[in-house]
Amino acid sequence: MDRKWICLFIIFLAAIMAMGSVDAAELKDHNFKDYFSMKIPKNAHFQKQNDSSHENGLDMISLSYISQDLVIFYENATLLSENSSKFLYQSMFESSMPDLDECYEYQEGNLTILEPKKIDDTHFPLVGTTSGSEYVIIMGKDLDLIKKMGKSVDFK
Amino acid sequence: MEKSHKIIIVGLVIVIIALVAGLAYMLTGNNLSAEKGSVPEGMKMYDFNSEFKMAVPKDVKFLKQWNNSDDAVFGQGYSYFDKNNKIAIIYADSPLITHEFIDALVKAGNSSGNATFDFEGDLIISHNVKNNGKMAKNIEDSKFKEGILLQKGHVLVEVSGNDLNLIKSMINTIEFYE
Repeated sequence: MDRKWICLFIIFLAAIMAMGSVDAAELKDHNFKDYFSMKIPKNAHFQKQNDSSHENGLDMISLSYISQDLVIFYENATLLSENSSKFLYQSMFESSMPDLDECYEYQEGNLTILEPKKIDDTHFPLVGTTSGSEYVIIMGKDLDLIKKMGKSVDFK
Repeated sequence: MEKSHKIIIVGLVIVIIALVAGLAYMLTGNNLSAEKGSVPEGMKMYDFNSEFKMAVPKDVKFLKQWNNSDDAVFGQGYSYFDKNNKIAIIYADSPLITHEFIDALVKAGNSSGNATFDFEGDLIISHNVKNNGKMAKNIEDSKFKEGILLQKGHVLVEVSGNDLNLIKSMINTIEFYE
């Protein structure tokens, strides 16, 4: 009996260590043009969309990177400031998941996290970070992953 | 000691006293201004949907809700509920929010016997005498003993909890975005 438990414990420990090593190896630094850098999954393939506008003296740059599991959104707009970040995060969360009327909201360092009560294929958390008029918003099913990505954002 | 020396010493003492008094005044002034804008110990400033900022307990994790009420006023707003810290914040931004509306709320609370009210500056403190402070999984079923209302233009903020000192220290730090 004892041997069985010891074996199970060793297997469990090995699994945890393996997950940790895979996790650590999974991310790589990536430069998103000259705007910001962030760690992303090594095997991620994104569809990119760039939009820039200059109207009435107001500049706006927005980039979207979409993969099967992740959405990364960057915006830099003259009209925006850090004071409008929470409004933007909430707007994006509500428009992405219009059937939801609640979520958990909390902060970890510079990150704001909006987390559905139940995460599934159509309801996933949002992590946002900002600096001045620049925002990065990451959405994906794996909350730990998008938090790690958000924490690694470096605005240039 | 010569008379001129005595005068110089007295003058120096006066200058030192004036300097110390001035320094003390400056320090006191700084402390006072720091106190007004400072965050109470164990708290951090929190941004509520870019409508306003207010100090909340550091470990806060809100259950945030919207569009979940038919209420003409608060149905347009957001609620933040933290069961662990036993606090809730509700705010709404609606043209229906006026001084008359607030007066009507207070009158209704008074006449129902559910609450008694105190007024401190701009704050309306509601003692929910029929509530026992029981915390539920959501804001609707929680029975907060205390609530504080603050109106700024068409924005109404209500902070609820069981610890009046806690919610008062929170709402006293509120900063609305212009």
